[in-house]
Amino acid sequence: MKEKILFAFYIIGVVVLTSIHNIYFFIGSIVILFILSGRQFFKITRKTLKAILIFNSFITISYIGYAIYKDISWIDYILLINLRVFSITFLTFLFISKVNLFKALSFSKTLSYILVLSYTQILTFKKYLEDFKFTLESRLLNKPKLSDSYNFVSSMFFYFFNKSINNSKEISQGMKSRGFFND
Amino acid sequence: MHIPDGYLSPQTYISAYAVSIPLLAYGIKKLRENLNEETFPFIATLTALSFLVMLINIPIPGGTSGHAIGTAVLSILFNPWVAFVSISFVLIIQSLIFGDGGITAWSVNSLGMGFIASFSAYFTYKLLNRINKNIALFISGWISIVVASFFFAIILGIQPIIAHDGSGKPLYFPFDISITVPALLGSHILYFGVIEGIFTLIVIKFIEKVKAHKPFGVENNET
Repeated sequence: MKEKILFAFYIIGVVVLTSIHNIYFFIGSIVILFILSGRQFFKITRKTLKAILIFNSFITISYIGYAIYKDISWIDYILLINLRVFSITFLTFLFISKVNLFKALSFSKTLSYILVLSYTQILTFKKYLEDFKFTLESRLLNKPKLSDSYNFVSSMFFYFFNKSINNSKEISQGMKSRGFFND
Repeated sequence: MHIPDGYLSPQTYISAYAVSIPLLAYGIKKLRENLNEETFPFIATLTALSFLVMLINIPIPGGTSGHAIGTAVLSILFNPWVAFVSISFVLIIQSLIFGDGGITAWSVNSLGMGFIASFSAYFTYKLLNRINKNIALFISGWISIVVASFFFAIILGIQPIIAHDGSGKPLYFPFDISITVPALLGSHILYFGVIEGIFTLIVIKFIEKVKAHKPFGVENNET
């Protein structure tokens, strides 16, 4: 129940952060979020900056250029948008670090089943993908030709495609044999 | 192509949620009609597959590379509802577990990368397949990205109109349609669309070559 309540607070928090346009409110919110993050402050800050860096830098630089060209003030907007995006992203990472997301989303059986199953499959597939990449690298001295790269990508997709179909059958049978669909 | 949190006004993302949630529920219902007990595992493994596609780098002639989304491939191999549901779940996982994309922007991302991309790819393929299969596959992948990018350009471009302060300064995404449409469409017509087109073409041709694609419990031509 605790997770669901925290999830509700998280959603309310995000909606509030997207609805207010006061820079001081965002500075205050970020200070509170920093305090709540405790020992994970550096880790979450690093993750947040990494997540927002490219998109925000692009928008910030573009807008400054646009504002100079149009001879309008840019500082207020740049502060507002960067503080807003930073605070929402920090809040998301803080939420993820403190709450078991699968429990938080358990208000919907469908959603939680699919998310748990998908996440476990993603972890497995990511491991296989790394293996595929290492396998290719270990067999190459030079950069592969375009046609070889396409063959590699296609065969890799085909492998994962078949694996997805087979895994879904296996998972379904496994769930069935354990009485998952009986209630 | 994901829109992050903070760039969309509540008017935009709440409206988009009001459209995307019923569509997602309808998509799941349609899959359940065909799959019953196999629905959840099927969606889950295809969600993982879609996630994986976004991690695979596709080289394009000229020496650069980028990743595809895979919506067109899933849409053509299965049907557009399967593609839409899978991509929507990938976007939930990316935003909530990996912090990539935004929870507020999920609804818009899901409509663009999921719904619009999958249905545009599917119907383009159906239309052009009679003329030339290779061209149909490439164009389907290409158009799925281009149409989705047009949708994002419109959504982002209306933000300064929807929300601005008393002096006319934007409160969310700053550039209007006259900037977002050419900027986003241009990059997707010339680059990202080409990657998606190549990916769709080579993957489906490969699967057909080894004659192993047997859609599992879902009719290929059902929308």
